[in-house]
Amino acid sequence: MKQPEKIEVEDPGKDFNALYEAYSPAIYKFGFRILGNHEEANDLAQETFFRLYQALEDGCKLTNPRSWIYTVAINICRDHLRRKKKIRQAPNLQYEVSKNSNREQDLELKQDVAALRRALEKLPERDRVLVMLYLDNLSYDDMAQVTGIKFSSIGKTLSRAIAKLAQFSREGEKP
Amino acid sequence: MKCLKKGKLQEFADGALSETEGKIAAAHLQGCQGCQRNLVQIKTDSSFIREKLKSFNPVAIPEIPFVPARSVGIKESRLPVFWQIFHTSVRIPAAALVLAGMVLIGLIFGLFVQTRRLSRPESASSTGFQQEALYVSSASSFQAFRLDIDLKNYKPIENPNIILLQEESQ
Repeated sequence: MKQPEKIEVEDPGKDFNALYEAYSPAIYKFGFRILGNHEEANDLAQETFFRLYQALEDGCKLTNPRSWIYTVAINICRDHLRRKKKIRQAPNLQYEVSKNSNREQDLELKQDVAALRRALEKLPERDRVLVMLYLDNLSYDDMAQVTGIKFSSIGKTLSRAIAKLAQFSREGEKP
Repeated sequence: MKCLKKGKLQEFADGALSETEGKIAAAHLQGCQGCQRNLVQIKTDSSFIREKLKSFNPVAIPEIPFVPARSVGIKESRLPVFWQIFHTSVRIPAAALVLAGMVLIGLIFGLFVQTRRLSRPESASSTGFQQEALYVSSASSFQAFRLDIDLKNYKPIENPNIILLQEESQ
């Protein structure tokens, strides 16, 4: 498993608050997409920032906090899924259905999400994580640091993963 | 110029190419219909996936209050104060040094005890015998003997080695 690099921060207490405000919603969202429910996403965000808090208190020097935080979050997700043996199972997503009072629309959305989930599961874990990071608008540099893929290979891996996902997803939608 | 690979086109679409690379790619794209088609395909797939994966996002992002470890006592349970004075990088070498010192002291003490034991003469108690003096007095003489006694039964051993110490005639 890739270990997060040490990053540089001048004032641990002050910087922690800034980092927490800047990244906790993104980590929650990231966790929700991977784990599929509020409780686990919330736990992931708490655990990630608890580790950040400890790292800063222990005097770790962070140079790229964003990639450090994402690396820790991914490691926690992996451990969590492995522990629960859910890595191959589709979690029950609490997706946005409340606004759709129409039952047909609701059912359509459920089918859509299920097809997309199946398509995602066909991708290797590394590509799946890369796509999730891409959705969070991480730079190529950060994606390379978090996933351990070479910077020069990010574009290639990403285009292949997105093309496959789009193909699987379109195939899954067909009746 | 050769046609652009899909990875390069993805980088171009995401604006991840350097300024020079971007200019070269743009110049090539102007005159290559094949690459233009590939670029459109990549952009379509990317926006399709972005749109589709929106349904994986939470309905709303709740407020996530962070409780600092110190206020719930986690900090206290982590490490003893003694270890906190060591930075992580010196903690392991320091522990190894203390352990090596303790092993060395143990070895020296063991050697000392062993040396003392070897240099000490075998005591009577360790063999189970003790030398006792026996005095025999009569009207005409006085004799003093030394003989081995079995400590367990407190009686002379068989065939004792009796040494005459003193003999006086009265």
